[in-house]
Amino acid sequence: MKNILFTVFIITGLLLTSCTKSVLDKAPLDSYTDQNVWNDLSLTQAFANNLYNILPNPEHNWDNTTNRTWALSSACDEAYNKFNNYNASIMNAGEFSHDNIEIFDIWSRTDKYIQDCNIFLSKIEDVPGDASERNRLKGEVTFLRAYAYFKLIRDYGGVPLITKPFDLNSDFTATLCSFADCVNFVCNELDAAAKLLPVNYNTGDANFGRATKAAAMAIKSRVLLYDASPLWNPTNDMGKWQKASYAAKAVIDLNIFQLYQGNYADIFTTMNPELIMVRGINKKNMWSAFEGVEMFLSPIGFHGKASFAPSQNLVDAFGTADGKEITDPTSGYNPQHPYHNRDPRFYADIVYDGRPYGRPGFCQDRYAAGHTNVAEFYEGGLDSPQGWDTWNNSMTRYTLVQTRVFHQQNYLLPIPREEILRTNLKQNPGYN
Amino acid sequence: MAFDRKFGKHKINAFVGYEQTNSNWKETYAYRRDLLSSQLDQLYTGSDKNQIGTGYASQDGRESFLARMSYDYNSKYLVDVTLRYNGSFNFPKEKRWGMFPSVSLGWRISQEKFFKDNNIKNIVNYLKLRASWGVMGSDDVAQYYFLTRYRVVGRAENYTYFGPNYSLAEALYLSATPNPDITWERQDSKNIGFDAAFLSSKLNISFDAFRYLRKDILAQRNASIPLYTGLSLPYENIGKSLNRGLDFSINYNEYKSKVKYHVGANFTFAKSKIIFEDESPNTPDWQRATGFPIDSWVVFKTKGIYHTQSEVDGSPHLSGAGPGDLWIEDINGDGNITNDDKVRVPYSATPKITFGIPIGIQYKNFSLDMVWAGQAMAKQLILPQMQGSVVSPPTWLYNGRWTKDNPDAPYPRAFNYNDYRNSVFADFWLRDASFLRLKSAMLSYTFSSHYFKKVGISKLKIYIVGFNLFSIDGMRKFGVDPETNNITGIAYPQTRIFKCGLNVEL
Repeated sequence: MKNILFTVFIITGLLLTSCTKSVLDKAPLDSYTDQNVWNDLSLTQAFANNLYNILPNPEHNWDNTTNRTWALSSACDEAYNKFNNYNASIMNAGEFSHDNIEIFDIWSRTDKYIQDCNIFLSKIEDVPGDASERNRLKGEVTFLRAYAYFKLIRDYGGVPLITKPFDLNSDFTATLCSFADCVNFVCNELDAAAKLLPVNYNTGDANFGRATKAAAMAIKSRVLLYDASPLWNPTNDMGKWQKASYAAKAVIDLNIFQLYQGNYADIFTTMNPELIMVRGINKKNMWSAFEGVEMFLSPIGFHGKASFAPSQNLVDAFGTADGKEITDPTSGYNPQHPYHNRDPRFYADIVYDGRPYGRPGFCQDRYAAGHTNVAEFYEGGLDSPQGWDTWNNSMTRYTLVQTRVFHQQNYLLPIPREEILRTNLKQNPGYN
Repeated sequence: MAFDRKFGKHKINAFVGYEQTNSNWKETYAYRRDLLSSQLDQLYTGSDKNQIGTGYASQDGRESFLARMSYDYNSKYLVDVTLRYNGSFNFPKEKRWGMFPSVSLGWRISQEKFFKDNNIKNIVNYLKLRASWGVMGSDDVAQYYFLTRYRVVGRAENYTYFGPNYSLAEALYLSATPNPDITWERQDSKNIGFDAAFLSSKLNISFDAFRYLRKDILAQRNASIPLYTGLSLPYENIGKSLNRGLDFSINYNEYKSKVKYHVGANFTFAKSKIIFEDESPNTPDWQRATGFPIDSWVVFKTKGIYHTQSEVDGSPHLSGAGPGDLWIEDINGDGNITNDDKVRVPYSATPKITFGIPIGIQYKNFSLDMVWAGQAMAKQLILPQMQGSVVSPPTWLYNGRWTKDNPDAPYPRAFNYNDYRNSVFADFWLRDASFLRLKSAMLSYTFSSHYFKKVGISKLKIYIVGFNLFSIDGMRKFGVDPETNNITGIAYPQTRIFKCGLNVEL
């Protein structure tokens, strides 16, 4: 028996030595490797492209990439979110805690991008190729990492500042930095990015939409503005305000941007000289049950979900045409005709009973049913709780915000707009 | 390559083998619409508007050397040895080969001389002892974790656009941090048992004790590695768990009497235990998985619901809690109710005990066959509102809900699936998933064959059978089947089926 066992092993041994390496030496065909990505500047750029997801996105995407500035409208008294899409009701009720923060917690998502930025910045120097291209990408990712930290400190205050990529064998301990240190870090990084980036791209440039020196400077002014605000400046240190204002002045002194003097609504829908940096998205996603903000906001008679609606507070905050508050007895506001004679912005921002909404071509079924593109929030109207889709009906019934979707734009620098509005008012008295 | 020989009382059977699998997947997809005419269905006849051309490929490979030898001495001693040496493409070069041996031994005591000689055989008709040990391996984990992989962004929500026309930019993302040490997950199985027959082989008993030790379990270290590292974690060989238990079955049959019958019972007791699982250092002791069954529940402890405002005021509670909300206990005593107050309980939805009882009776041409089955020592968490407001709440919850007019109600006030005070993992919602169920019962009548022989039919039987006819359980009163295995309580219901039929054998 021993002999037989021996033979068995001999045979096995023979088979083992007859190398069949090729069977097991497989490489994934659906992905690139380290060698690929960090030896080819076009792949390096593709890796950097994904990091632009650090910037806010106006899509809904079932909570995944939501620009919270509009989601949070329902957490304050601007709007009511009927389906409680973001669970903002816990904020309304004052019951927010780290056990129920859910979608409002950007910690893990943002840190993943920071790790990617750190990987990128640890490799970029050694990528062969055009030096100016390489420097531009380095500047972009430096900007994006600074923006990621800006997002973190805005939500959490001081955070650990991590600039080296981790791997599985790293020491995972990190120290928590103070808010002041974080502000310094972000500003220094933005300065470094600004040195590497072109001042601005014109709208025809293939790189339009990428980070620029102007954007880095604008973000810096915003970080300093937050630092000067009462939350982080309880003693009202004027030095902080000064720094913030110098940073803002530096952007103005670039002499590239101007306040837009045209039609109010066009500020949000056209390329205009107010835009410091834009993030492009696909318009078609706006009208989608999964990604679309427009679908979330539109009235039900237009096959929207009417999920977000303005509060009466917001509606009442629009004054009358002559710029007076509606509570002012001299304003001429008539509660019987609340939508007459209002601030022009009202007509651009609010969809109210009797206001046309959307191009006729987009709602032909309304015309086919004997209606028009005029919103009907009255009892029994197409957009009322008795309307086309009783499940999605609007709660507010008479008014609905058409929150202007920032199709392509995100404003990075707060610019006072009162002045322009006054001019607008004078120029377009019959503005609608 | 096989070897099979018999000399004297020795029987040897051996073989060696080699196996290799390779898979290559290649896919090309091309699409054009608006063909010039339906007469010729070729791609080039289509319009180039909205045309699509894309493709995808993947590959893998595995190798295995196998040697097996079995030896039998006089049908008394049985030895079986198997060796497997497996290689997988899914692990790095130095880690891709794994040796997986197994040995099983058998001893038919009833073949021994002393057994036959001493008349023991008249009482114990058959007796065999057996034992086995073996190691198995698994490479069943997503591909290529040992490599750094950059993949093309394919989710529309992560697309980026640049340039004057907002053209979609190609983008890559890092799919996971590489784990250069990834290798086979192993299971070490040990088993010892016996088979025995008594009373002229009418009574058969079989018993097994087993012990499965899983080690190097492929799992992610996402609990102990802080989120701020931003690592997308690969699978690592870190877990270890133990599953021990007993299998016992007993059958008695009587085929020679007028009323023929057989009755049996099989019973399994299995207990799992986590020896190592990646856990966060911040996890409180009372939530740690180590030492507990796999998938054991982590729940809030409750004292029912708050019935009065003074009960609320007199105890730590979630902010906004009032009468009608779950009364959650403050386990760590910090005066606040947080997720740290959840405790791990030694129960999971996997039953520790499962059993079955097959019964058959035959009298003349009639026969009745039944299968009873059941489980015990299992708990299932059912959150009754998890289906959301689209589905109306169950009657017991609706009628038993707390209201101002019904302050002594057993169940919380009306709540929805996202109510973090009531629709939460709490022992209040843990249900005992034990049951005893009549899985099937069949009554049949077999016609005497001589009636039909002429027409070529050898057997004719009519029967009526019912499935899922009856059960004793604790979950039916909540409108949920005890075999439901998810927390929403939504499961395809156990159907009760009646069938009658005719069975013809030619």
